[in-house]
Formats: sequence, structure tokens, C-alpha cells
Amino acid sequence: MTIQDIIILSKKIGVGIAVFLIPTLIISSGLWATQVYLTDKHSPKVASEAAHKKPCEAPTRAQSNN
Amino acid sequence: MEKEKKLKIAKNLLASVFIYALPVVLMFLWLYATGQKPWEEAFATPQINTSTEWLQPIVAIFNHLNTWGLTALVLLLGVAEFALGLYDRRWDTNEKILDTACFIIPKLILAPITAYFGLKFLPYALPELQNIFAWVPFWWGFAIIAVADDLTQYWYHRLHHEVPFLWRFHRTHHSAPYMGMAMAGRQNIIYTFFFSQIYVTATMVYLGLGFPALFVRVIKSTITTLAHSSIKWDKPFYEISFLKPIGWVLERLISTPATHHAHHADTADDGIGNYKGNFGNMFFLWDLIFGTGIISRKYPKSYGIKTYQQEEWYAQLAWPIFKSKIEGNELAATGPEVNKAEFAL
Repeated sequence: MTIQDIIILSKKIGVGIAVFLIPTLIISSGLWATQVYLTDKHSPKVASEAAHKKPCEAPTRAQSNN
Repeated sequence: MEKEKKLKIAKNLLASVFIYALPVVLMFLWLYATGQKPWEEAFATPQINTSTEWLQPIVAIFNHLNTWGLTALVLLLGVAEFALGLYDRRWDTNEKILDTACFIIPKLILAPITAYFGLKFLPYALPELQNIFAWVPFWWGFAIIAVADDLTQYWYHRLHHEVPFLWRFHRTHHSAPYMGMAMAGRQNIIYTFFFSQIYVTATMVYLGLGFPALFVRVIKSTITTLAHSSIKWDKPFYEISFLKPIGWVLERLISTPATHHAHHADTADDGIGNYKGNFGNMFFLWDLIFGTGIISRKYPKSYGIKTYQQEEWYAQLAWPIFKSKIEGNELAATGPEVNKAEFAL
């Protein structure tokens, strides 16, 4: 192995890491964002249940955000 | 770099980001519309069980994939190929040693490396994130892994054809003047050890998508092995009338012997061979999306590389650690980086 071989090998590993990181970051951040966004938000099912409750039982905007 | 080339790279990158994100976005919309929050429910890793007797061998392959399932398939195909005489007399001692070494060595070395990556490195680098996405429903996980794994392999593969300094790491896969199931694993070991998609999938398994990943691995390995096989199982789909519509979908969706053999052809001048394209492994769809696919429904007359000099098996297996003694050869110490006649660009 020469210095030139080690440079080529390092460049090859660099390309491999980039090709690994792009999909891993896109998918992981997408799944994380899905969980965070939907946890914080009332789902349509919950919203429709709330609509059938009496006004005094329905959660306020402030409560629903907790 | 030319402006046109830069624009093409930017377009391909944007399209890839969109495709990687697509199954996640669709899952988000589905969860949003149905109001489900699977992370709030108790979930358990599903098991494959069946009481139907005739399904038992298939279930066994899925359940024992990592021990003998895929090896059994490859060996079974290998026996069929030999029985049908599909290797002719082109499988000489040098090729035999190389193909056998490529079949065995990754199983002995790659498995411990990926195990170390998944069981030691990731828990160290990403503590507390283990199984964080285990809530992802099975079929969405399957779609996410299938796209992530195979699109990553498409780009890893394509870059080794289009970036000059990467070509010699992939040349071994194209040097054989024949096609067969052994070709699926015939790779330079450094190309195999740095397969990006292996580490993408290993990371997803660590994050909780292990069960869908198992299914993707079985299906992908089966399709990839069958696409390299010299048994032309796709031929009836092009010749029998009632099978033609299925064939039309099949050849666009997955790699078949016709489309993948074209990638291993030694010439692109006959309108059949396409070694400058048809890069897809499990899905052929990527070649259609990124404009690198050619469907001819025909099989090349000859395979390999025109400039192949039967380089020593050890040089093909582990270049640049071991080099060829053939003067002027690409794998020799003083050889050229790439022979323009066999390169994709």
C-alpha cells in the first residue's frame, strides 16, 4: 500500500459516509418530527370527540396545548 | 465542473431527498388522518408463525435468514446453474478461487463488523436512542427500509461507475465473462465492507425497525440473486401473452435477468448491453426515475470487460492491498486509474 492508495481509500470511505448520512438523517429526522408534531397536536378523532362534549367539558386551547 | 453537470447533480440530489422522505411523509399523513399515535400504545415485536404445513419451509427461510436461509437459496441456484451447464468452460481456477473467496470471506468478516457497528458502536454513539422508532407500523417500516436501503445502494453502485477513482473498487464485479448466482457476491472486499446501505439499515434496526428490515433483506437478496442468475426466469413474461402485462410491470419495478444482465454486458453497441446504466439492485424503478435504464427484453451475447486480463484473484479480491503483476493493468501498481473503454462516463 502506498500513500496514494491510502488517499484513494480515505476518499472512498468519505463518499461512503456521505451516502450513508444523507438517508439516515432524512429518515430519522422525519420519524422524529412525525412523533413530535402528532404528539403535540390533537388528532381529528380526539377533536370530534371533544365536539360532542358539553361546552364545560371541552378542553380550552390552553389546556389542549399542555 | 460544467454547469449542465452541476445542474444534473443538484436535480438528482433533490429527487433522492424527496424519494427518501416520501414513505415517511405518507406515513405521517396516514397517522394524521386516522388520528393514531402508535408510540402511545404498547407494542411487541411480531413473530412469524403459521400452522399451514406447506408454508413451513418459506417461514423457516424467513426465521433462519441469518443462519442458513439465503445461503441455501444461493447454493440451490448454483447447483441448478451447474446442472444446466451455464458456466461452460469459462470458470477456470482463477475465477473459481475468486468467486469462492467472495462468497465466503464477507460472511466471515462482514457479519462481525456489522454486528460490532450495531451492538457496540451505535449504543456508544447514540445512547438512549435504541428502539426509539419501534412504534413505526410494520408496512410503513417495510416501505421506509426498502426505499432507504435500495436507493442508497443504487447511488453507491452508480458512483462507483461514474467517479473514476472509485471504479477499481467495483471492477471485480464486472470482470467475469459469464453470469451466474455467484456474481451477486463477487466484489472487492473493500467495496463490500463499505456498502453504505448496510450501515443505513443497521442504524434503522438499532432505532427500532429490525423486523421490517428482516423482510426487506430476504426479498432484496432473493431478487438480487435471481437477477444475477444465468437462469432466465423472466423470459416467459415476455413471450406468453397472458403473462405480458405482469412482465411489463415486473421489468419496471424490479431487476430481472434481462435488465441486470444488460448491466454486465461487455458492450453497449448492440442496443442490448447497458453497462453505463441499469444500476438498480432490488428496484429497477430508480433507473427509470434517474434516466439510466434501458429495457430491451433481450440478453447480451457476451459479458465482462473487453480489457479483462484474468487478473490474479487476490488483486481482484483486495485491491489496493494486493496488486496485479500484469503490467499496465488497472489493478497493477503502475496501471491507469481507469480504462475509458469500460467506464460509464
